Amino acid sequence: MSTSLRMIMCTALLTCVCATARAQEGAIAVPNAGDLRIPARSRLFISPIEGGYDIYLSAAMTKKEVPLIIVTDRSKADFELTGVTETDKAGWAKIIFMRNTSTAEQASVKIVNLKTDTVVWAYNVNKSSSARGKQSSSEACAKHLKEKIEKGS
Amino acid sequence: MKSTILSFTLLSVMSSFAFAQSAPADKLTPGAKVFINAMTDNFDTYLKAAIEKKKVPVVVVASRDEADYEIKGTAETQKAGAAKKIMLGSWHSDEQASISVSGIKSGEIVYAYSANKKNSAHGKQSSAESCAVHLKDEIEKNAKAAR
Repeated sequence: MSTSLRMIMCTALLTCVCATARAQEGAIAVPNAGDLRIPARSRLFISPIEGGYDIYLSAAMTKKEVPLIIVTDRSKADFELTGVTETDKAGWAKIIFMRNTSTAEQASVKIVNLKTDTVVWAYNVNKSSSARGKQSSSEACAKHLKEKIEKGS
Repeated sequence: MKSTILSFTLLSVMSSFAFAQSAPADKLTPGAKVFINAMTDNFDTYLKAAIEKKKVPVVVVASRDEADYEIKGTAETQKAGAAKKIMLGSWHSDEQASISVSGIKSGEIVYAYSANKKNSAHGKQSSAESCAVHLKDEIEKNAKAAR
């Protein structure tokens, strides 16, 4: 085999190795059962939550720039988010004595890795006087999820 | 022999790069066809009116099959109770709404927004217009970035 042919083949091999390495950086590694990481750019499906809270969560993740791709089809997702939420409207006593019309919000969410069926993250939020109702509680969830992803553990 | 090796080399290099590149995120652009799903308390009607009023550069279609994107959303109104009217002197309702826009083909959420208006001057109209204004901003931002 001539030297030029050998050089071409070496270059091709090197290019393939580099490209594969690049792909692995962006791709989602198949996690082990004990792997609690949520890699950036993973695909997340948000299950419908009572009162349309799933939509508030989508909006919060967009606003807080959570590095995930939110998908509407569960079969295309790597992770699934489920949750519950509850709103307590301000009663007359709170309005009269505290002059406060804000609602009290609580929510709880968890993320499951669909490949390993492991709960990789869960978070509770309780806002006794939520400035912006469901938006505030969903943004708290999004902020903490972003921290978890950026921490990478 | 040489040409076979060269072809193989070219093919492997091209396929490696195709594999390495992640698919670009779907983005809302002017002229996109949008289908608005039915929402709680007929918020979809308010949203259509707001999109029209704020001149959001999208085409709202009546059938999901004709659309590139779909909007899902939810809205909630809290009317002023007697205590609020007497103690705070406010008759206005508190409004909250949230919308998400997803690509029908990609199944990815490309934009989402939540609005919360205390003492909303025009009830659902205000929250719908807030959603429309921010949707317009997003489309214009994407159009600028594409230029």
